Amino acid sequence: MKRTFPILVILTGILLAYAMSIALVPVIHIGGLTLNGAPTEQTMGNVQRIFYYHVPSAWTAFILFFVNFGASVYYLIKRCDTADVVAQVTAEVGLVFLTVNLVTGPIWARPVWGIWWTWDWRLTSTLIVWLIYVSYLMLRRFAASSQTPLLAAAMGIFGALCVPFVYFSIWFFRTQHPQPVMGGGGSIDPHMMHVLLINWLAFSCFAFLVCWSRYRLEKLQRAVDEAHALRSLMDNPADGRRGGQ
Amino acid sequence: MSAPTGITRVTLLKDLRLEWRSKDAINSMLFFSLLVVVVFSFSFDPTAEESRQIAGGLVWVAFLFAAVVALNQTWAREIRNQVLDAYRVSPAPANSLFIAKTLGNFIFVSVLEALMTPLFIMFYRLRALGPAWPLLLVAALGTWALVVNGTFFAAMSLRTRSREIMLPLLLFPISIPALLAMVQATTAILNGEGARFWIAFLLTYDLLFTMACLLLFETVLNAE
Amino acid sequence: MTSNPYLFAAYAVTWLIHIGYLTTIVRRYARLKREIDDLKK
Repeated sequence: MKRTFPILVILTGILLAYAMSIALVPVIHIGGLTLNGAPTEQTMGNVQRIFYYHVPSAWTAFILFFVNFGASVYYLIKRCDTADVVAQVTAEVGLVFLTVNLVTGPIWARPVWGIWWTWDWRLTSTLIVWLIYVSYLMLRRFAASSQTPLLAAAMGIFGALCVPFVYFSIWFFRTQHPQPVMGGGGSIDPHMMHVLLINWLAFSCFAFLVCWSRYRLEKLQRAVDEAHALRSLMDNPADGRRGGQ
Repeated sequence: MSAPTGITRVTLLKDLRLEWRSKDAINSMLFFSLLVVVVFSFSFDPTAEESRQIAGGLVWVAFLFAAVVALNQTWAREIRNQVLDAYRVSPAPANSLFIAKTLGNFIFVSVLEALMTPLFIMFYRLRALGPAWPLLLVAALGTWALVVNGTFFAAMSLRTRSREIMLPLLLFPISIPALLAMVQATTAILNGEGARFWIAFLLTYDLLFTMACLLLFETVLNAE
Repeated sequence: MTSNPYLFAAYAVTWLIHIGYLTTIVRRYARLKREIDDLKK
């Protein structure tokens, strides 16, 4: 187990580097090898390559939020501490990825449309989902510690249930008032799809490793907190005796 | 199975009676509604035509803030008299308490809306271009959406630090789809257009989240 | 390779955000290790 983690880190690093290079350049020549990267887009030019980071971030975030939903439901049924930790971890890491998506969006929009933000369907819905999971994490931070897992599980379920409503309502709202569409509507060039999927795979592996690290940290944190609590109980026993007597 | 509905009715009547007798909350909410309408009126000075476009949004934001103030009080009385603990140990089903609280809040917020609406109509010279009765339906569905989630989150906030700020932090993001629907429906009706999609959407939202609240309330109430 | 500043900014910001988050994990981990050593004493 101890060896696996570093090996996975190195493999993921290589995959990420490969994914980034094929996203950035159309063709790579290494030695005698020719790697095909993503072709340059006709209308937008090189800026379009942000796509290969912007989209996988969103997909990864939503997978993580889905896991959060599952973990929340599982916690309510089984009251298992691991489920609670998984819920917390996936919400946090998912939010990090969604933040990347929300930041790369305007960076892409600016050169293409001349504006930083637009209330286009996808950006708006993503912003609201971002707000929902921020409020989830705020609840975790502010809840009394013994009840946090339960309250957070309830909130996780509410949040997840809300997501389809968010997307559907804003889609309908925006299709009545046509706005610039992010990412293109029609079919995608197969080479681009290939690069997109590779980047998604790389980021998924990266997300998994980040979650794993955060999971270990959280487990350790909880163990330490328990140890502290135990120690303060032992130092101040209710019946007035001091120390471990 | 009349026991749960009996408990609901008793709890609801108790709340309403207490409110009526003390007139505490009613008075402050009355004044609050007037203040909100006046303050909002200073932010825009539209002609009658323009006002029809923005009234939907203004009115519902005002109602939202009034609802939050009302909701924050929801459990305050219970906490003060340790009534919640009594509920927890009694055999009464938790959902009866929840429905009673939600209905009480619904009535309360509806009264506020009824007070604020004539003021808005007057200050903005509002007039619906088509039939106005669907607005009542939108008001009912929209208020229920805010109040059902609000009552649930208010109960959750009880177990947090900074409980007054926690309620809006939890309620607002989750309510955004419903708010969009309320505002769009109101604007559409005022402009004589159809609001069927948004009303259906609100109905679905209300049904789903009411179910979710009913399923999870007992768990949240008994969280220890 | 890429002369587009926005493209560079987008990729750079992505990694800044991820590295920032990872840094918080690493720092908390180090702090925890110290606490554990204290507890052991």
